[in-house]
Amino acid sequence: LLVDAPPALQSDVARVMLAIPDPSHAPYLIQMLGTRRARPIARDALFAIGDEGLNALADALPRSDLPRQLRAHIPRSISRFDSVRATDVLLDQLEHEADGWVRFKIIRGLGQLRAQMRDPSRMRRATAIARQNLLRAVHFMAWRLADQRDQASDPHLATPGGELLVAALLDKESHAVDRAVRLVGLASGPDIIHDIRRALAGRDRRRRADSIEVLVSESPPDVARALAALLDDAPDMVRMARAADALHESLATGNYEARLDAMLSDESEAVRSVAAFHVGELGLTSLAPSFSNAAARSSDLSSEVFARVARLLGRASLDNVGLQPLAAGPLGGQRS
Amino acid sequence: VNPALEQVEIGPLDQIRSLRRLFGIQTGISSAPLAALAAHAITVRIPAGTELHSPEEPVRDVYLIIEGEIAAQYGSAYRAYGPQSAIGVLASIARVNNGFHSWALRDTLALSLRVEDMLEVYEDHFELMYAALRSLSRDGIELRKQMKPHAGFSNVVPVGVVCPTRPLDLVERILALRHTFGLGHSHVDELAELARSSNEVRYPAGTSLWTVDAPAETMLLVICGSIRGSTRDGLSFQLGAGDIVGGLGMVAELPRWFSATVQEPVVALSMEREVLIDLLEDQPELAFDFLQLMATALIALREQAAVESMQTSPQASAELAGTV
Repeated sequence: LLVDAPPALQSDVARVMLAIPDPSHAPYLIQMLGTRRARPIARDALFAIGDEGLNALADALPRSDLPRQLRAHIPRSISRFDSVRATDVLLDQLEHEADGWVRFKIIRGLGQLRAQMRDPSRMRRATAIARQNLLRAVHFMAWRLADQRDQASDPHLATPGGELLVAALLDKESHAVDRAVRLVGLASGPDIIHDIRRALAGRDRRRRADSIEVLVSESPPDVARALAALLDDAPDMVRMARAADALHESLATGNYEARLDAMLSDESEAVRSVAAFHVGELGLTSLAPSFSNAAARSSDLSSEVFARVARLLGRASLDNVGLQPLAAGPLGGQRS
Repeated sequence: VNPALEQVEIGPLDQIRSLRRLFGIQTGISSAPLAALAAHAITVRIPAGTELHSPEEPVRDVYLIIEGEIAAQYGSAYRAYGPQSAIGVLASIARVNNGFHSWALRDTLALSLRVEDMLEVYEDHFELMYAALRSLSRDGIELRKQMKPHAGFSNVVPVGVVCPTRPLDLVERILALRHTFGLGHSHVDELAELARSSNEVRYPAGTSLWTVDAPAETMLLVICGSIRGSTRDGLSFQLGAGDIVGGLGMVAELPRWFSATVQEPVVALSMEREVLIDLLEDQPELAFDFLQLMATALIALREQAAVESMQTSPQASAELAGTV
């Protein structure tokens, strides 16, 4: 009944399952988490099943073979249980999750479980992940500043793709800082973290400074100093240097090509595609191995980017760059 | 809470009931998000004459009127609001002050919510976020229908934007989206998802895209070309590169409010409603970008409408309607 079922039918089925909770329904309800209209009812039904529902969700969370759109909704379904076990399931996966989007969803799920996060051992685990995010933020910041410096001194590099790459680095840096704030903030009650985030979004310097002090008050010194530095309104170079020093991290940005090479291996397909686009703009044939690896990981629309850049670089044989076969191209949806 | 205001206990059920009235029972919002909002809301009694929002201060709190009357002013746009109105929502979502000023006209009972709490609950409960988007879209359509002769649009389209001769790849779509109204500061990953979820479409001049009252299931993010819009009341306007065409009706879940015909050959990214909603739910920051875009546009439209109304009829400015 549920194979290719329309959302309305899935919602009806979820309602029936909610009325008669049964562990055997759990796999079907988890599938329905991928459908917006059925999702809230499916969540209620999984919760109504009880421990067996949570176990099924815990088993599904690490499964990378499940569609990403579905996996991203599992963490909030788990946090619905508001229990020690639910918290540990999310923390366990957060430490191993490879997909940044799912990691973000897990962190948001943990935000619903603040009462369980008061336990010092759990906060230590969250703080360790916050530290990793701060390291990422510092490295992305270093790359961004180096790219901006190089683009300013050599206008040849300041192409649309180059500027987009700088914007992507800034996004990654701010995402990493945001994750660190959310993780460190798990130690605070919901009212306090709301106030802190409100102050951080504002321009009142004194309120920002007070909020940062409260936010990091229970964090280890390295995390506290690094986060405070990154949230400060000092110039970028100063913030970066202070944060790197706090984390005892040495920053090696390499040259422009080396950074582009690294961006071709980024976990975000959008970033890999923008880096490839920029490689094409600059005609950089020296990055062929990384380009080929990135091309092999591309899908749908981003395959078009790699194919076009490969042609531009004179690598017309698509086999050479390991392209995936194209799915329906962008013209597949034309309605003219 | 504003220290000038006396807190009143009305109980969580009454708070939820007030919120249900505010959001409109017909929107079908479930109790859980309303309970989450109610958990952050404080009921306050506001004496007549109390200033709630000052033109010099950022909006920190919104007020949902249970009983009484509050006056609100954006620049030249002034109106008195009664029960089931929300005050301060637009300015807080748009994150601009623009001289927003409000004060109680009579002794008023209202739910008070901190802006950050409200936005946090929106982020956690997409139903509310979408209800807000839908509500702002409906307000936008109603306002545009009253604005003659160009429905509040500038009626000027960018010239010299060359249409791509071949289908755009992912990065080219992202670059085009960064030039789309309101999306210039969106994150690259979010724009990539938007780009992936849309279809590139090409229409020759003279193509009728839709007519008034047709179902509004798609919107177009125009990359090049121009589109002529017209309504049964004689409004006429042009939209072009960087514009989002048909988005208000689509999000509002209302039939098309204008007919659209291609004037100069168009290349656009077309997006369906269900796809957009799924995307906005999964990418809360993109949803906030859209919400901010709509609130900012609505504030500007209100001011424009007020100025135009005063030029034609000095009394008309008090008749402007909508959430503020």
